[in-house]
Amino acid sequence: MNHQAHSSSMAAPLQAVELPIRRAKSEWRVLRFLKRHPQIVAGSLILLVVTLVAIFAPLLGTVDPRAISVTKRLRPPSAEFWFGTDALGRDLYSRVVYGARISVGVSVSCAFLSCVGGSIVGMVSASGRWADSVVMRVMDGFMSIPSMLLAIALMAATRGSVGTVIAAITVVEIPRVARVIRSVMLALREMPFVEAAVAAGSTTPKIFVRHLLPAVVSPLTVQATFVGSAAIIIEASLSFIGAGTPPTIPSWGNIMADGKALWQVKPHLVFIPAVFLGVTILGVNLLGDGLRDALDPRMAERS
Amino acid sequence: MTVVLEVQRLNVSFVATSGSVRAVRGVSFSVARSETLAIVGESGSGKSVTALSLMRLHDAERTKISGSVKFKGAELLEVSEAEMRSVRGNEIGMIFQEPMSSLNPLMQIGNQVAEAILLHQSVSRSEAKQRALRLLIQVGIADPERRMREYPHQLSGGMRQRVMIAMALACDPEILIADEPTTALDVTVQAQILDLMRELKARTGASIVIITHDLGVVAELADRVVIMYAGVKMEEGTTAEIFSRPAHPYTVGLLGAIPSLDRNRSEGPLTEIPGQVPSPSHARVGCSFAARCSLSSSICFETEPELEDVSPSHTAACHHKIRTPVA
Repeated sequence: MNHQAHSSSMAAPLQAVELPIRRAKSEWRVLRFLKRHPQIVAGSLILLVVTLVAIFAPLLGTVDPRAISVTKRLRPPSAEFWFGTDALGRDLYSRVVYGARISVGVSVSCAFLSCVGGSIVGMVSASGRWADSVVMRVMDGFMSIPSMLLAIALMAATRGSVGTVIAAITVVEIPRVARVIRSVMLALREMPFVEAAVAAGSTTPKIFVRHLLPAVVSPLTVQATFVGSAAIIIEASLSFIGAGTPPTIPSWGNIMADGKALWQVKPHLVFIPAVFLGVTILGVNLLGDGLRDALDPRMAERS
Repeated sequence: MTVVLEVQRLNVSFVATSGSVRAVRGVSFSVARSETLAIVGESGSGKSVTALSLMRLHDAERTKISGSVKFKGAELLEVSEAEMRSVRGNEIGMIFQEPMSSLNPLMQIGNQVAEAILLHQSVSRSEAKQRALRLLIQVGIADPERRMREYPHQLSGGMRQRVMIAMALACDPEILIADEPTTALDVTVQAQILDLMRELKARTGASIVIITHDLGVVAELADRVVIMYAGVKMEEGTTAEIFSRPAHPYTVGLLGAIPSLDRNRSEGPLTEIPGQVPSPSHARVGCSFAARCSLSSSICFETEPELEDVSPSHTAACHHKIRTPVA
């Protein structure tokens, strides 16, 4: 920054200056970003595959996952039944593939609903001192109960369906999201750039949208992945103990619950859905950890 | 000279659970068109609080402001919040002390400057961008097209302060309030920023209220000076009067503490003012500077001195004013 240089450039008539606003080469940036964060690539690939499996379940050589066949019980894996059949003669491959729908659906809905709910609660809490003490004490109350127990209690109080499973998990996860959002908002509110925006004549809603919300996006994204993976685990656990998804609907937890009686003689009935469950959770967690590292300002790339 | 801003008997107190704290006590001053007024004082003298009160930027719940702040005939302490917003950034621009954190780290520079324009003027976003680019050129940002698309962390402290100045000037304000604009910068960058402010003032004709504890900045930039101590105005005069004929012992002390390259060793160490600024939560009788003053006598501890004229443009609040004959 040379003082002489800028005073001479100012001598030129300002209106005559040419204003070419160049575009950044965004595709290169994306590639470089992905190369730096292999975790995000791996996690996204796993999730992409699982999601595609869930969406295209009917096209993947599956049969009706609920069709019972007394004559074809407990078949070992074969060309006809890729993963074999269970104690009721249902095709395990079809059940596992359809089960992906429940896990992905529950995971995405819980992540979305918890983030929306948690953001609202967190923002309300950050906006006023009275609201803060009341809302956060309620949230602390929720968090003091182990999440599985709370979910089981909520399930016991309602009728079992996929919707109530999602609702129960969302209620459990909202306080966690709310705490993160609240702390981010409280810290942001005191930032000099927020005061500078007030001094520039900005309105409260504008400051909210332009200055506060964008800063919440990255912690919220990371939180969403954590909620997503927790939701898959809680759904599977609830189903496994019979308090979750109704047993008529194939979900990975239900399939494992069905197979657990025969665990010692037919381990694949539990093992196969468990592997799908584990790999999916690994994918979500890889993505979450990768995003957390990538979005951490201390690790942000400086060019 | 037309007066643009007139502050009268401004009182600011912060309400805390342990009682209220008076940070500014009955401060009055005025700013004329195209004039640069410096408000000078140590840390804790209430100068920044005064600046923030002019824009009503204090938390309304915890702050009590009384007195009068008249801007072009309107009483700023009484107008509605909506009217106040149309003054902030539009007619009174503000530059903050911390260029590092006064810019939104997640917004491109161009968008931030454009935002300052869009808040008060109904122009299209692309028009605002073009104006933002012109502003960045005006404040001497090198390669402004590239800087427009960069984020604050990619800019140096001096450049960020230039961006802040560009934002403050976005709507051609009548008054620019600069709260310690050079404190966080290197000395060489400070000089550049001061040059820039002087140049912009000459071009735009805006009045400047500069808050500082740096008397070097005052000598460079100010037409008139207000000296504050413990929330009270101690002395006011033209820059020449304050530097050559200070009437208040506190001002004399401040001036004595400026190091100079021409100083002889025989002159001994720099003078310092013993003690520190009293906490504003303490109740006081008499002159707030009395305890640290070398000229204080019993009256100083009993009655608070009134502001009295030293010359038509020069006032001081002291029982023992130093009267230097006009050379």
